[in-house]
Amino acid sequence: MSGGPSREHNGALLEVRDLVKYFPVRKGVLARAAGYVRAVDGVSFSVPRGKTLSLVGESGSGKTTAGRVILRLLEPTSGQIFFDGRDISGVRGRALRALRKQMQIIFQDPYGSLNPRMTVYSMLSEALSIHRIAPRAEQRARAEELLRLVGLPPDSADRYPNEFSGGQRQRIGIARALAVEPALIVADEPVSALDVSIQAQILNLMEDLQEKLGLTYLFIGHNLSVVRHISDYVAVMYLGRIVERGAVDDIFERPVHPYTKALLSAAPEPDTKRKRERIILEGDTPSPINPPSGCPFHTRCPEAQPSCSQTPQHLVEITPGHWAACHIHAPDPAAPQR
Amino acid sequence: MTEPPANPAPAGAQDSGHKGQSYWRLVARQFVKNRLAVAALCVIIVLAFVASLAPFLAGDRPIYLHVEGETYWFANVRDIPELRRFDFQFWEPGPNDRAIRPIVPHDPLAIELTRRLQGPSANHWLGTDDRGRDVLSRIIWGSRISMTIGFIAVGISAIVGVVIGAFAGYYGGLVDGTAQRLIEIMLCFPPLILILALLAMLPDQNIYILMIVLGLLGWMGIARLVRGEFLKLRESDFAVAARATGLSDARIMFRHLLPNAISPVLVSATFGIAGAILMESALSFLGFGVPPPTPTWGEILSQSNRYINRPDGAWWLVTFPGVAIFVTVCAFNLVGEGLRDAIDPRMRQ
Repeated sequence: MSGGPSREHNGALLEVRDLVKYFPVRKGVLARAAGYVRAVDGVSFSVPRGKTLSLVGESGSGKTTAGRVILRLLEPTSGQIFFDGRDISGVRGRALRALRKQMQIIFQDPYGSLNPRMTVYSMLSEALSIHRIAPRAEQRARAEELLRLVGLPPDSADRYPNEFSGGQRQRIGIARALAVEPALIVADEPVSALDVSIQAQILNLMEDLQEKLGLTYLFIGHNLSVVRHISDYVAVMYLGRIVERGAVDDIFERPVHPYTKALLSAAPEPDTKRKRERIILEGDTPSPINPPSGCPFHTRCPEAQPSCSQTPQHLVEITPGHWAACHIHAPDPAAPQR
Repeated sequence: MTEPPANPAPAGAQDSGHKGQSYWRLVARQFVKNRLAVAALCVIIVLAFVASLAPFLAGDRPIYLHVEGETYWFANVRDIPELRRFDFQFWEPGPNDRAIRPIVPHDPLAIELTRRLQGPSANHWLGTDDRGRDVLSRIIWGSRISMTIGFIAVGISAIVGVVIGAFAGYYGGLVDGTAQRLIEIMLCFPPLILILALLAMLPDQNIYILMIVLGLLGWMGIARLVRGEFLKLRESDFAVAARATGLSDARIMFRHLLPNAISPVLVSATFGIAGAILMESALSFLGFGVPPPTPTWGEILSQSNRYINRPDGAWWLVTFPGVAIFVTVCAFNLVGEGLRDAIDPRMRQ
């Protein structure tokens, strides 16, 4: 957990250090916390300006929670979030409102993420006026410009969300996120709910926008081919912790952690001639209320050894920028040898 | 809903104009499939007309009057100094006079003791009460009281309920707990007894106090509905998006969440109007309602129990205001049910 002080990306737009988010499990009349769901349990990474880092993991791995905490939509239990070099984990009130202008979110579900009772224009103009980006007289033009930017006709502005398809709605969601001219966008599985043909369009749009506007993405996903396509860096999460992170090629070509390997082996392979081993994981993800001792993955790990249930795992740098938390495959040089 | 100023293309503007209300159009389309609800809505519309046009339907002052070479219009709704010398209750036009009176040419307050407790006749279509006042005229004017009390009381309930429910559902935690306990405490009291106790304590009794008391005792259902909707909606992605945009809580609550939670409130309010009308009638029947001589349906009804031993039982004093209350309450309940079914997405194909 203490691993990976992210010195490797100096001047990163976003840096997260030991981020922790516990949700209390309340029971009884007095609503005392009977336990905690350790949704995010000590996560550190950083995203350089203009790059894309993907958080990958199964559902329940805490990747969405991590994104929400970074956006300060949820209060972090502990840890620090540096945005543009400034610790934003404790800002509130006016400063938090100003921060909202810097970071935006794109959602997975294009049907739930747009208010069904508001026109596209009223959504966009609201964002424009709240942060004083455009005076009222120019908002119309700015909104149409935003729509053009995401590839929608300007007259979409006067329509309601239910008049659009899923892909179009996702474009509206992106336009709304872009309205405040943010530097960072947390994309929470932005294409998972879309048809495959539409997925590519949205991903290409996101890449174009990144290039045009110099955006930084924190991409949350579980579709590995999508992640590989869009990411510069990847962090693999399991039960609220990062088990491996590094540049996209390190993770996909030279995975170290058994969980990463299993995840990669489960992804469909476009090249049918290439033979490869499927690693089938047994059982379910353990409960984040009571995570296993030692390495959280040892209950399902095909390479688990008796020591795995006792030894707490730390991220260890294997090659420059490539970190893994597995004391079998990435022994900690600082730790005393068994 | 709002027409864009900078989109002059007529075809496009028209298009977005009609699609703008798509949700309520959908609801309307479902609603009209329910014939009974549509009929009930027509009854309510007629009632609303009757209530708002009461001075033109019932009263002894003429709408048009030609007397002594002068012509006067709308003496029924205007105070004309030259006409003050006339007592229209007993005034009959002379050979050179012309007058158009309301269809029911009797003032609801005009006492005529020689004609007390008469059954329906050509002159008094629905009979007279124990002071000789025309029952039909009093029912027509009474519809004003019933409708006003129904709408204003429910309006107060809806505002209080929406605000309390919105805060409880949006903030949760201690705010929610406090609101819930408050709702439970309020629901502990039988409403009629509580209202009677409250009205007995208040020094003054008038129609406005009645509306406020009825309104402040009827918000709990709406508050619970809104709370439930807000609990659900505050977790929705568009609410998260609104927070991520940096909008204020008040704006998120009332501009983003409330429009999505308003339909069940509307349904509940429709039922609430029926309840308020019934409650006002019950209070008037018990003598705690609108003070006399203001005509209300419950007050006419309350006279009947004094004459129940007469050979004819003064049946017109029971039947006609009773029918008025019954039809009105039924109509509001049927419209409420129709609306409830129309907003239910499961009813749509």
